[in-house]
Amino acid sequence: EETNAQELLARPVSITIVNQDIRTALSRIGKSAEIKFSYDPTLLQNANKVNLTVRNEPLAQVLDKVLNPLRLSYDVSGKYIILKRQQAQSLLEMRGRMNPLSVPIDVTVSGKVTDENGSELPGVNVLVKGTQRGTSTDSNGEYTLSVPDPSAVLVFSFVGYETMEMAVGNNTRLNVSLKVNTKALSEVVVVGYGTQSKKDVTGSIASLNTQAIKDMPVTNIAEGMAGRMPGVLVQQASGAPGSGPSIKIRGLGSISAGNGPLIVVDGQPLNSGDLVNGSGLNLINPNDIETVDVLKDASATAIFGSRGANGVVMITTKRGKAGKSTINLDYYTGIQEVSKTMDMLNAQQFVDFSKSAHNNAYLERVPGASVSDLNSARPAGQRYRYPRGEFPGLDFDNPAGIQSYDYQSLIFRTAPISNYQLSASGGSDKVQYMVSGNYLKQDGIIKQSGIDRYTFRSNVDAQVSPRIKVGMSISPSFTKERRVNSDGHWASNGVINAALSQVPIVPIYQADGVTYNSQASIAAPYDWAGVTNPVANITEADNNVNTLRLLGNTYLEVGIWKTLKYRGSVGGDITYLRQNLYRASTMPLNQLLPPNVSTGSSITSQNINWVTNHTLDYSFDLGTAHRFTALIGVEAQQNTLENNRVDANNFPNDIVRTVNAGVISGGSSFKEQWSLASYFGRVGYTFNDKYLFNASIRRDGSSRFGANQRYGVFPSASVGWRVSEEPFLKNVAAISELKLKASFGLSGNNAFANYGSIGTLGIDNYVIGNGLANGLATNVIGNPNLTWEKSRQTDIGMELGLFKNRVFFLADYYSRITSDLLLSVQVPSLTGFTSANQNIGRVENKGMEFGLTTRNTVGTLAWTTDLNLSFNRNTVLALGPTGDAIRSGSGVGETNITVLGEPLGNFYGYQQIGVFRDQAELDAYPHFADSRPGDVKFADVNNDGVINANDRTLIGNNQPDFIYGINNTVTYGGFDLSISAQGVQGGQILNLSRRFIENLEGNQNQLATVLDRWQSPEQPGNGIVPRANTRSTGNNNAISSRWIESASYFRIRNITLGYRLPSSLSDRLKIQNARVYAGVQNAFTFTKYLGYNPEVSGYENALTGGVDYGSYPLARTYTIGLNLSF
Amino acid sequence: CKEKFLDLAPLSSASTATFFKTQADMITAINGAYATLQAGGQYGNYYILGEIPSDNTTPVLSGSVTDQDEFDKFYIRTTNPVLLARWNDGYRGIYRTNTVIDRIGAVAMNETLKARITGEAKFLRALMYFNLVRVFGDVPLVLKEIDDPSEGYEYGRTPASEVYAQIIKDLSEAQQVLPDSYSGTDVGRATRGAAKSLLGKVYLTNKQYAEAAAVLKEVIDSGIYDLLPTYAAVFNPANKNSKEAIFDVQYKKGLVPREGSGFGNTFAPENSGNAVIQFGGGGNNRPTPDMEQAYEPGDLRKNISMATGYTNAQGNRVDYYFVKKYLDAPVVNGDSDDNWPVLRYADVLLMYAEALNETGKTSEALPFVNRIRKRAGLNDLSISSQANMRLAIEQERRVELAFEGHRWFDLVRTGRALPVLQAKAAAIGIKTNLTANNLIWPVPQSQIDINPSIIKQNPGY
Repeated sequence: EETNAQELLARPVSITIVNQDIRTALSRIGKSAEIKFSYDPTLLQNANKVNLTVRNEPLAQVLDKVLNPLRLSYDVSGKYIILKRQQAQSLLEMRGRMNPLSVPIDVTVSGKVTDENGSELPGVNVLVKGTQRGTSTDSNGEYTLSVPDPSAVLVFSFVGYETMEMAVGNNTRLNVSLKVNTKALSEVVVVGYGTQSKKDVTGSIASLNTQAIKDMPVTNIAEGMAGRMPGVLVQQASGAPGSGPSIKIRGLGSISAGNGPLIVVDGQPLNSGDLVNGSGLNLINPNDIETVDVLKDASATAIFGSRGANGVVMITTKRGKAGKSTINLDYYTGIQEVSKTMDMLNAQQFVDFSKSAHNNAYLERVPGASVSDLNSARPAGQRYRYPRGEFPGLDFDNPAGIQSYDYQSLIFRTAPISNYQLSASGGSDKVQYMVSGNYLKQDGIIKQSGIDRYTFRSNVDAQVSPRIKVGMSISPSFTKERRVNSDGHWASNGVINAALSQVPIVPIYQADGVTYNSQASIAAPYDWAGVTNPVANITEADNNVNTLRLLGNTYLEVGIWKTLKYRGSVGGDITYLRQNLYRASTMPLNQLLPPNVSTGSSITSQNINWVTNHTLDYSFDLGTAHRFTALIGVEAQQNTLENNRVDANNFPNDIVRTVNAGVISGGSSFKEQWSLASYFGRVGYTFNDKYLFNASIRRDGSSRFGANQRYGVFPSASVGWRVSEEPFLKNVAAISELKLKASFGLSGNNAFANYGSIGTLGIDNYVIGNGLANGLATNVIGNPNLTWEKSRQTDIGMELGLFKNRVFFLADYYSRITSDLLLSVQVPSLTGFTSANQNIGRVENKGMEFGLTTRNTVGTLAWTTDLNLSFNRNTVLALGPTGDAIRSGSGVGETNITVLGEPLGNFYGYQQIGVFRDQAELDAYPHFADSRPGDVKFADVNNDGVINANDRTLIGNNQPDFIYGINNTVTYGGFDLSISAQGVQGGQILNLSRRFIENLEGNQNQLATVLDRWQSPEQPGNGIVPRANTRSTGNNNAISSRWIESASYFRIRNITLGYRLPSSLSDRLKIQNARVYAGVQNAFTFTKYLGYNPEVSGYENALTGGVDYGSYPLARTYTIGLNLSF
Repeated sequence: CKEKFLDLAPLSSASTATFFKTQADMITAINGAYATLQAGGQYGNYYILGEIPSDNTTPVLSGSVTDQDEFDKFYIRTTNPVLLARWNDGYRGIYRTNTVIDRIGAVAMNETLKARITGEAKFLRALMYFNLVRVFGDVPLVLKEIDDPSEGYEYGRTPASEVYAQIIKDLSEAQQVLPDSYSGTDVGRATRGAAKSLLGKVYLTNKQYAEAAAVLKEVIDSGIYDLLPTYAAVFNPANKNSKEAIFDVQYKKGLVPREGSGFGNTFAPENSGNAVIQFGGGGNNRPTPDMEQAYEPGDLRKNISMATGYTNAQGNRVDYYFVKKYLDAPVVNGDSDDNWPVLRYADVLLMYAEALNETGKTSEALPFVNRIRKRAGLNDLSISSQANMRLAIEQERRVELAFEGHRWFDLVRTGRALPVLQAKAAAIGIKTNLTANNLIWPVPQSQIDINPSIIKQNPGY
């Protein structure tokens, strides 16, 4: 953002200077007006002491007062005031210098000025120190200047960069690299429908410059945000290539409407309503992103009205700058490996365990039974029999000879990843461009999975005339995804669940070595589960998804009058998806060995989202103490989703796998729409650069709500006080910035069913006359009063910069109360419906966020540390008219409950207090009717002497106590090292996978924890794991605290070491900049969690958060990379 | 601004505001009410409540999932999902019948058809309430379409006697307007005979034996129904909606979207591959050894109804008791042609015999029992005592109607449940001390939790 000279000179200055020397006086004026002076010291040689008192006078006047007595004038360049002699004086001086005796022969020096990355900087001021001789660099960053003698010193200055001095010496060519001025206050942040200078910000906004994550092999920008922004929780539950992480800002503000933020790319709001909005960022190339600004408080989000309640993620892509073109090539390649495997039983351990499970059931249920009874003596169909040689090589009485299989090692692999990015940017004063192409090839750590992603971007801006500017961003992308059914139940051919569940004694292939085998081959005589084959579940199913996304927008800016500016834009986000599924006849199914009936599906989905917005923007700045900005706008957006599916089966063979080859067995299609029409406005007022005020309002109309409640109004206001500008702090050198701020506002959430307010009919067909009879019935009961969720948020914050902002600290306290929660509420089912869409209840999120950036050392060894820490407390304040609890399930009956006064989505079940060690302990405590010694001892929570459903209680919650991130960057000479770490503390996970792999029923493989099970009163185990029993008793596997685990973890997310080739070498190679690096992503995770990944969010619903059924594990990735720029 | 821009109606589904206006709409709506009969909580999993608590069958071995085992061994949780499904699916069906009854009056349509559809709706509503009241005892009696869910909180549990009175009223009205039979594309809808047969069963349950005998006699005298010559023919899908079928839940395989039944796959042995039925089995509802022994030697029905094992793909015999009444080969998994019989003529004959015997006409009852036995290849009985006749009818019903979901409700109706359960308890080691409280099941906990001031639990739960 170039500050124009007029604006600069109009800045109000208030200052009192008593008897100071001129240099000090200029320095203080400079600080007050946020400018810098550049001058030849000889100009000031004869200056007297300065006395000056001004209040809110424009800088221009102040400068005149100080400089006129010295017969000096000035030029403005960026933020620099370059002093010079007034013309008359100057001519006189010149004549004096014409004396040949006193003038040495001029030397011509030329060179190039670049930034730290080697990009040319046009327009840099180059002055001979102590003179007014100077020039500026051309569009290639080149300058040529005559200097009086080799002892001259050149001063290079440019807005936004640190000024640098270089002695000419004997050089005729002097290349200079300017460092970015890291003084935070000169930055701007992206806000709704505009930008704002960081010093004027009164809201709570966290920003990420993608420079910080450029080396991380992240395929979705959200992954890079993890641990870097206070108040922003990023969870990457699945490591599947192409899967998007979830983003949650300041806790969970909604029960069943979306909890994800609105995503805005280059001013274009994307489709909202995804529960996991991280996926809205899929197919957006992180390398093309310049900054991410996360709007957190209501004063920042209210301008997005009905979609701002969960925060807003503003993505700004890279744009070209005037100057010479730069071509960048970025490449990395690496390998990924599974970051953790689970510790399962091997064959011998399993056999020992399984035998005792079968014998325990047999002995307990059949009077007079003996362990030595042969299978033929044991009743059939009761899980009393176990393998005793009926199948060759499987005799549990002789376990030594049984071969052991480790299925995890058969599904995981070391997988390559490579990323190629080629981009070019540059332009003239009139036209700037940035184009890029990217190819990502990532194989997944589960065999066969992977993606190929191609993304392209073209951002062009053109100043058509002094008043008119147009621009366009267009980004086509294409992904070919090879998915595997990683997360499903083994019965539906889930890969991971099958790999963990299948008993470790079953060969992958049948005796012929070709046909896939499964546990079904031996299950029938022993009543075992017919667990499917983990390898065949990968290889015998195709799930190919091709996605084409076209994201783009065009804008027009017109200067209307003075600073009144119109901006209009039209954007589109078009996604087209094709998915082909095929399950080959060769795949074993639940209980069924191949050949089986093959099935295939063909799915097409198309989403078209368009948005147009038009704003008028005005800023008022007379150079007085008052500055004023205003914005008004309108916006309209519509989204249309269409989906078609065709299913087929009975394919004659596995050769042709498209649905045309099979018998069409079904199909479906649907189409739905939403639209939003809005008006909005914002005003900002600043007094003396000290007192800040901002307010905004938006009125939204949404198609999603009932005719009675279609419109919502969302206002906000905020104030700020830059205490550091007050006289009493102005002279405290240590404090460079101190700002206090407070905001209050209302925003909304409409991420709910598209037709939630309308009663709709669903198809429920029947058979009459031995043929199809079309049936329809009301399946959603209408609610014309359905309305927005409203979020009232208060935020109080401070920013403190110390020692010229070498230490920068920020803190925020917020309280966010969401009311009219949208929920498909349980209603008495005697109504004919089990649930109805209603607005019920209130939930509060309040918390604290802290950020600390310290530049620990500067200079050759530069070390920067970023710390952030966020606390959030979530409390349900009201639920419906009666306050009744909301009970929710995640596949196995009730697992969660939401009650007043507690956070959303508590785990709900029995409290395990041990394992009944013996009959005496069993007799002494209430238990289920069929409990036996070795079964789980559940707490009699209500102390009524009976264990039943009334003893279920709150047994945990997934929401963390706090989250934190620590990021360190060290540079030394050409080397740079960055280490980023992040963690979550507190919170629990309900690990429901253990209902399979720790159920102790002896017919599926188990976690090695079962080795610590109860075996007898003398071998009671660890007091947590009950006894082995094929006919489980005592409700051992009920939802209970036995499955609850800590969700805390600390993860070293990334370590990268880079080395920049010295310029002597890169120059010889005609390369502007060359850097190589090596890194590790997900290097270490410290956690007690038994599952693959404690970042569980598989059940994204706020009511059932943190339930883990097992999902695609994360990869640890080792990369080496190269950055080249020409 | 532009209201039209924001006024978006659903594109892929009809909305309630524009439906229920025409004759075609009302036919579609009554079909939607029939469709709930296929739901798990109605007849989809009818065996769980109709057979498993009795001595006929045992549940699938499912380890930690005790949903069905609880009914076998009488430790039923109030949160049991099978009960919740019965409640929810029952009331979903009742809502749809109420909607038809409430809205059809205002529709301009053929008056005969209007009366028939109203009759169908009343028959269905009666059937659904009958299946609720027998399971839960007192149940909320909702007789109108609820269009505001908050109204639902006003309904408490209505005494069973009032519910029965409404059932009788609905069936009496239905039998007046329903046709004797249908042809062509309407076959499978509720008939006058169905309404009367169900009314007979309701009277029997209410111990109104004279009324039961009278209405069942009308069914027999109508001449519309008859036993098929062989027992096997009754369960052959080729004979669907035969003269013996009075009311079936209808299924048809190979339709898109699917409307087939899954009973064959549900009941076939676990891990049997394709040896018993294509796509394998779920091992549900397994006949007990006691059930196997209930068949007299030479009873032709045994091998049609059940098996004690099968030959697997490798040619080896695997011991496994399973129900084989419904083994039509599916095209895709769970898509078979087998209907679920709700009311069939053999049931009517045995109910009539029961009604006669209870009104003291034991000798008149005997021929109806022997008629059933004759088809099964068994000798005639000669019984004269009313008590012995009761047991003979009970036994005949057990084997004739085996695995059709009658046994448990028969035992409860005749007051024989507790004695029979004592024997079962001894055989399988049930620890629960069984009382009359165990003969009706708990109201689903969720329905109490949602409206605790007015919905109370049954005693003993």
